[in-house]
Formats: sequence, structure tokens, C-alpha cells
Amino acid sequence: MNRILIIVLLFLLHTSLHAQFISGKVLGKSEKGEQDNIAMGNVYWMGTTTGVVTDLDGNFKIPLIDSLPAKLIFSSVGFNPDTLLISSPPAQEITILLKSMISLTEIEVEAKQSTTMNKIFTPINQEVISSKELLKAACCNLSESFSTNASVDVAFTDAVSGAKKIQMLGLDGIYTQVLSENMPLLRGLSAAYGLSYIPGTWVENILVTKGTGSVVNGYESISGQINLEFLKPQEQKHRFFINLYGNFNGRAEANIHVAKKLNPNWSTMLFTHGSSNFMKQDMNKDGFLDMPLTQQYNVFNRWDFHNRKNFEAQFGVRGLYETRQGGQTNFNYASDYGKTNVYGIGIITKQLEYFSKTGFMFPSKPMRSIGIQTSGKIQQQDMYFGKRKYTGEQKNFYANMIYADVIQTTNHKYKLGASYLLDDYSESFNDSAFARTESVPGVFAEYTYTHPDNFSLVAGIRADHHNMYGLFYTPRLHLRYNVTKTTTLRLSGGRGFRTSNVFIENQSVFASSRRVIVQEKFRPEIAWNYGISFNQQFKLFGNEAFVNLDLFRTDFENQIIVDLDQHTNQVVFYNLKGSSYSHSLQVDIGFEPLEEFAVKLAYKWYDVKTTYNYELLDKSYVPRHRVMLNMAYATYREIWRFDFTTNWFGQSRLPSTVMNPEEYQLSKRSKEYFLLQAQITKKFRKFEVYLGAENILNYTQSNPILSSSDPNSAYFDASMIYAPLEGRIIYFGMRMDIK
Amino acid sequence: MKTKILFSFITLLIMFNANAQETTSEIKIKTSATCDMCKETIEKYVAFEKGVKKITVDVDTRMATVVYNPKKTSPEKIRLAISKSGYDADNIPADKKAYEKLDACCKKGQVCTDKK
Repeated sequence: MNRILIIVLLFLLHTSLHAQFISGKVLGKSEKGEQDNIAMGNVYWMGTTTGVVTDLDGNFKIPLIDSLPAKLIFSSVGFNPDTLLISSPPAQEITILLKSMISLTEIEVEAKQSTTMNKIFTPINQEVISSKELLKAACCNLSESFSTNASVDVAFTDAVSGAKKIQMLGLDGIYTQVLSENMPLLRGLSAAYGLSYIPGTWVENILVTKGTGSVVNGYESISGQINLEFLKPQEQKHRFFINLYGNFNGRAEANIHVAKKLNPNWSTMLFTHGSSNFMKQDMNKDGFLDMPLTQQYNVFNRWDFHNRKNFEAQFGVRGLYETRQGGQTNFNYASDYGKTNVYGIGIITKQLEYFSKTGFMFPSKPMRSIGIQTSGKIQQQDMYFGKRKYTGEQKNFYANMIYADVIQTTNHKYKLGASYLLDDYSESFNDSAFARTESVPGVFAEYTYTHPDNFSLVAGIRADHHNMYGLFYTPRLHLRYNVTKTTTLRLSGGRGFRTSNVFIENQSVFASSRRVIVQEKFRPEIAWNYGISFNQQFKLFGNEAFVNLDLFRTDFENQIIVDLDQHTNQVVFYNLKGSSYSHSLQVDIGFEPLEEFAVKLAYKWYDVKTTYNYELLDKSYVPRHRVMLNMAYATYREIWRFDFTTNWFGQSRLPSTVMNPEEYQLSKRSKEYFLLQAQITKKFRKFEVYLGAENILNYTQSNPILSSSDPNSAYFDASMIYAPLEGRIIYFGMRMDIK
Repeated sequence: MKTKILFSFITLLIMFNANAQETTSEIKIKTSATCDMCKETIEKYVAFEKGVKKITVDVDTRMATVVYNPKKTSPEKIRLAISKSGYDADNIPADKKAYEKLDACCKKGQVCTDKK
């Protein structure tokens, strides 16, 4: 135990106490430097069973022990414990000052604070999805976990690979930056579909930020940031965790975690995941599998080190292997691969990645810290869509150094830092090869001003030098103003920059006869995002309730356009010519009509338009209106839990098919539909079981594949998907902790 | 169809709520809980006992207040459950095996650091 004790004040008081007691007072110094009495703090003799608890004013009185000298320990939640060596019975009262605990995450992560600060005090528009919320949809990986959340939409991609994408503010998931504990996670080849590589049970909580987010994490976020906090070995109460899942459509999944504290400094955790979709199903009898056959193996091992003084380190390694096989039901890889008689699709993903994080604190300057993050990845993805073949490989290295400190008081905080990003891509599509290396050194600065009463501001800027596109700047600003104690107003604006990987990000288009035309050299995608949001908290039915309203605009300076409208038998990629924007409006209401019965209702309006071939059109597949209703009820101690979610999707524009013969034409707009899901969970002392259903109404898109009878036809297209292809899914499973 | 499902869900909720309204008894039991961690351990264990509607342990007075359905359980069974969670319950001493498994700080004469 270190001596972070700042002062021990000794008052010379002639007490009437007899010498066999030591009495005194325990004070705590908060982060802001304010002193307060510590109530319910612990005072005990080291190595003995003698101890007392301080009263509301921080006073204590503890019997002396015989074996002096002995160590007297003072501790309280949220404060660094301290020790006093008592060699002879003191005649005075002792006053001890404990200092607020400072952890690496607290300093490094502005965002993390909001988990406790509950939206009112953060300048950035954020929403926390806790692991409890994640349990509302038991299946399976993160791309599906968002089905009970209003800010992130889950989109369906194509009829054969079964992959799901997310969307924020009506924009594709590639414009959302996904972070793992504040380090960029899903980039490059995994930007589009990477969330399906993350099992839901591994995640402790998710922080969703609308808009561009912080410059500390890089320049890539445009529509939002999703930060994943994985389970931490230090915090695990149980050694083993087991989750098993199965559904009647032939999907089985297992997640097993093992956590171990090796000694007070070191702890480790092993996460394993295996899942498989092993049953061939073709409910709509179009000759194609509704969902591909899949296998995924996923292993993650992380290590934490704390010296409990001024140094923390974390590192981890993750490996992933996944195969997907879709297409016609009678496709057999061994005999049909590369031939035209039977249409098959295969996707094989292999990935190995590591990360490390180290943090140094300065005992004399509690708000000062240095953090260094590094990560690296090798990812290989091989795909075939009928006769089309794609192989891609990405090698990545990333390093980020953050120096954080305050200017005099914590009202003025700042972070300075430098980062380096290296990406090496080599891709081939049919007979063409593409390779590029991106090397981007950058520096950044971010200043946070907090007025103790009602205002805060985060202003950040970064300058990066891209080896292909030169120097560029990324400014970002977030403001928060509390109009009243329960009314919060936020403003944000900022710029984002990313380079795209058109093949992998639009892989679903390959499940068609469309000719792939790359019209020109791509420039980076650049966009500005502005947002305003309003949050009001109030009491309803005697419980906390809120209403939240936000409005965002994203304006693209350049975007890689995926044009399916020019020709029904082509997909054309080119740089934006004209305007491309997204307006989104979201209204959320949450209240609790009964104790433990929570209702969330959200309405979303999206106006997303892009210039396709000199014509400004609605972005295809993005419904203009959506409604979500989520109800959750739990009995005492959550012994029973009931969750019910319904999503309503309005009409969206479908890519033009007017040039096709009539039998291969789609309507101009999609149909509106409902998706309902429900889940019941029963907790027992040692485990819990759940039973649920997705897509209860059994709604599927009729005729999802054009020319499904002849995949060699020029009109074949399995990519035009706006609704589920899999009908009702009944699932069940269990979770268990073992000490 | 949609409204039907919605209604059946709400009906289910009301049923569960109505269930909680049936005749209940209340009992106070003296325990050996010394801190919030002990409180949590007892509450979590006893809540799963058949017939127990609610249990609240007051750390200062060490009193557990249990609301239960007298048709399904009895004060004796509740005391036994507290004992099985590792704590004394009135005159019934803590179950030895469960007591051994408690965190060191939750044992008698100890002070918890209340770390959760």
C-alpha cells in the first residue's frame, strides 16, 4: 500500500479517553479538491479481525491492540486506502485524509464517465447500453444486439451471405467508428461486417455517441462512435461463465469465459466463442438457403496489470476463423465450386489481432497521466459469389499516445497526443489486383472546459498527414448547456475522413449478375456532421422519465457512390458529383408506469439523399419513418424478466429495375412491415434460462431473389433486400456463473 | 395480430403484478450481516426461496425484513435459508459450509471494505 496520504493532521487534544482506544476522523478529498467527511469508511488493524466503521461525520473509535507496533488501515470506496504505523498509543485524535482514487480509464476516457453521469453532464450526446440491456436480445453477436436500441439500426444486406450491417443517422455502418475500449477496432476489411465477429456476452457495456465524437480516437467517425467495453478480468466475481444458445432453425452457440486473478497485480481472462448454423433451410422455396451455413470460432485472451501506484497495463490477443456458405440448396463445394451449374457463395474470414495499453500516473499531480495504446491486425478474407472471386488482406498497425493534464483546476482539462496508423491492403477481384499502403502520422489536441454549474465544452482538432492524400485537418466541437437541472441542450459539429474499401464494404452486390464498374480513382470520403439535441428529465407515475430529441445533418464533401440505379445489370462505383446528405430526427420517450416496468418509445425520421449519376435520389433501402417500442418488466430481484420489442419500418426506395423485363421488376418502393421480438428469462440461484422469439409475425420479404430459378441470367440479383429472409425464430438458452 | 401479441404481453404483466398482491405476511429476523456485501449475499440467496416476495436487510440493525406468502413457506424455512446463505438467523446459527465460503471480510468480527 503506498503512501498517497497527503496530510495527517494531529490535533493536540486532551481527551478524556482512556488509552486503550484510538479515536479520530477520516476525511476524503474528492477529485475537485473538496474535502468531506467519509461516512461508513473502514478502519481496521492489519492482519487482525479488529475493525470499526466510521459514523456519518467520519468519526471512529477503535480499540488498541496489544501487539504494537501495528498498522492501522483506513479505506473507503472510491478512495485510495492508507496505512498508519502506530508504535505507541497516541494521546491525540487522529485526522486522516484519503485521496480520491484515480484510475487509468477515468483519465483516459472522457466517455466512460457518462455511465454514471447519466447523460446530463457530458457535453457529447451519448447513450450507454449496459450488459443488462444487451441481454434483452439473447442472440448472438453485436450486429443483432442493437435491435432493442433506437440510436443504432440493424440493416439486412443480401439474400445469401446472411450478414447484417448497422446504420446510424441513416448512414451505413462504415461511417460509424467502432472502438474497443477507446481504440479503433473495426477498420478496413472489417468496417462493414465486423460487429458480427464480436459475441454479445463478451461485452460489458456499449457507449453510443451520435455525431463525430472525440478527436483523441482518430478522424474516422462521421455519423457516430460505438465504444465497446469488454469484460475486465479484475472485475469478475466469478471464475467461469457459460452461455449456451440454440434455436429451432439450426443455430447453436456457446460462449465460455474464464477469469483468474493471479496475484494482486496480475489478472487475466480468456473468452471463447463457437457458433454454427448447420441446418439447410429454404422456407420460401426459391431454391436458395434462407440463411447460410456458418461456423465461427473466436478466442480472446486479455491480461491486466496494476501496480496500484502509478502504472497500469493491459494487453490482449484475439483470433477469429469464420466460414459462411450460402447460395442454392444443392450447392456442394467439392463438386460445384467455380462451375456455373449450381450457384454457391462462400466467405472465409481469418483474423489475428493484438492490443496493448499502458498508463502512467503522476502521484504528485493526480490529474496528469500519459497513456500509450498500440494495436495490430492481420486479416484475410476470401470470398466467392458464383464465379466471382475476391481475396483481400489487410495488415494494420496503430499507435496512439495521449498526455492528459489540467490547467490549474479540473475545470480546464486538456489532452495532447500523437498517433500513427499503417494500413497495408492487397486485394484481388476476379483478374484485377489492387494494392495500397496508407501511412498516416498525426497530432491532436483537445480542450475540455467545465463550468461547475451548467455548461461544458469540448473542442478538439487534429492534423494528420496521409501518404496518398496529403495533410488534412479534423476539427470537432461539442457544447452542453443545462437550461435547468433537468433540461439539457447539446450542440455538436465536426469533420470526419475515411478511405473506403469498396469491394468488401459492398460485398452483397456481388450476389448478382451486375457487372462491377470502377469508374475512377477513389478519393477519401469526407463529411461534416452537425447535431443539436435536447433532453428533458421529469417524473411520471412517480418514476424517472425522459424525453429526448435530436436532429443531425451529415454533409458529404466526397463519398464513394455505389450506383445501382444507372443500369439494372451494373454496379458503378465513383466519387460523389453533386450533393449527398443525411438528415435525421429522433424522438425518444422513456418512462416507468410501474416499478420495474420500463417503456421506451422512439420515432425516427430519415431524409438521406445522394446524387446518383447527376440525379438526387433517396438512398435506397433507408426507410423514411421508423418506430420502435420496447417494454421490459422484471419481478423482484429480476427472478422473472420479460422483454418485448417491436420495430416498424416504413417504405424505402428500391434501386430501379424498370429496365428489366416485367417479370424481373421490383416495385419502386419497399413494403412497410413490423418486426416483433419477445423474451422471457427466469433466474435461479445458480443459473438462468431464457426463451424467446424473433420475428414473431413471421414476416419475410417475398421473392427476395430476382431470377432465382436461373442464377446465370443477366437479371439474377440477390442483393436487393429490405426485410428479413428468415421467418420466425424460436430460441432458448442458459447462462451460468461458476465461482 | 400485432395488437393481440401486445395485449397478451400486457395481460401477462398484469397477471404477474396481480400475483404479487395476494395475502402476504411479514417477519423480522436478526442476522449476522455486517456490511452491504453481506446484505447483498443474504438478499440474493433468500429472494430465490419459494414463497419469498421480498427481503431487505438493514445493515445497521442487522434486521432482515421478509415479506412472504404463508401458504408457500414459513418463518422457520426462511431462517434456514438465511443460515444457508452463511449468516445467523435469530437462534439458528449460520450453515458452516456456507459460512466458510464467505469472503473473509464478511466473517464474524470482520469489517468489509464494501468493494463490489
